Amino acid sequence: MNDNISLTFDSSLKKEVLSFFEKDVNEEGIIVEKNNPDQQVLSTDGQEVRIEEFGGIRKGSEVFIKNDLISLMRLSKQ
Amino acid sequence: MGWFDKLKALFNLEINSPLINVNITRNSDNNVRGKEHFFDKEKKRLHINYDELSEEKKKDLAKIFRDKIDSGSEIFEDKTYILLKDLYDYQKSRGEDKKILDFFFPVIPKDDYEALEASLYLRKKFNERVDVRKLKEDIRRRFGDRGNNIANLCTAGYFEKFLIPLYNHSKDDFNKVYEVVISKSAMAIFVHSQMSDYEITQGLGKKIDLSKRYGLDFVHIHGIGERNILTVMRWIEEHKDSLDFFNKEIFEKEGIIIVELLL
Repeated sequence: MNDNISLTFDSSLKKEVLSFFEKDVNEEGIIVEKNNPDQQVLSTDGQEVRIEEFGGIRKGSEVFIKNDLISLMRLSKQ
Repeated sequence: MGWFDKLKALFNLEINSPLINVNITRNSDNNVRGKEHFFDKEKKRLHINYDELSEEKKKDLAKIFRDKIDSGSEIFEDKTYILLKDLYDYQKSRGEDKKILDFFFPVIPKDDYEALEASLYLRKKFNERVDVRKLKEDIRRRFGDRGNNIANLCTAGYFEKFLIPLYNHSKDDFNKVYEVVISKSAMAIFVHSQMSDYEITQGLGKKIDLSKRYGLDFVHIHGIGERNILTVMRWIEEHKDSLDFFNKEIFEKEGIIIVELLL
């Protein structure tokens, strides 16, 4: 939360936002690279990210944020 | 030009009032139905309606999102942002919860500590009458039954009312019972809405055995919420004869019932 103005999106726009970053969702509901569906994106703790868990993207090399309490609690301490 | 200047240019926006959030939404949002954007002056939020944008504007918006990340910032799902913001605020003002966490930090395993930290936040939200089902499910998913037990025990106050005094009284006793209390929730049964009478009876029998084995002289039956209180009351009534073997106390207050059986 570096900026004074936050940029957010509704849950119903997750797929569209992922497409902004050339990402797709495979048949198992896991977020992958659009151009290389075998390559899954990783969360801050190095795990795969399911579409329903997708909560945002962080600075750097596109670190994907999960929307569960524990992931966000860890993020809030950084 | 920063991401917000680009956004303003894209929609020819002139905003002179304070703004704290830009949210991309859809036609289903009543605020923007049929409009490309709407500025909510009161909430200091700018809503952009994705469904009303031309393909070209959608491409430009995608670039603005990428620019924001490239410039070292973040984008969030709306609900995620609200939870994260609340967690930031909670970190700054944890009050009594901080004392509990400071106490247990050097005493319990790292994962238990993290589950406790999340459970204290859950308890705060529960006390504010927020629906905590998703938070509880998050704890259970990450830490399994052990996390679920920690959340239940924490919400019922066992960490400060039972485990801290036990540790201060005798570290040996604490070490002896901590594992069984956390992994099996030894001295408490938490009645939930899907629990049958048979499950309550079976569960209670197991807890009584466990508590006796580890030298605990009580078992508590907890019910939270009107429905669970009624279940506990009905269960007590139907098992009056067998419960007569125990000295028991019933506490009921503000949507919570606790039945204490002295072993």
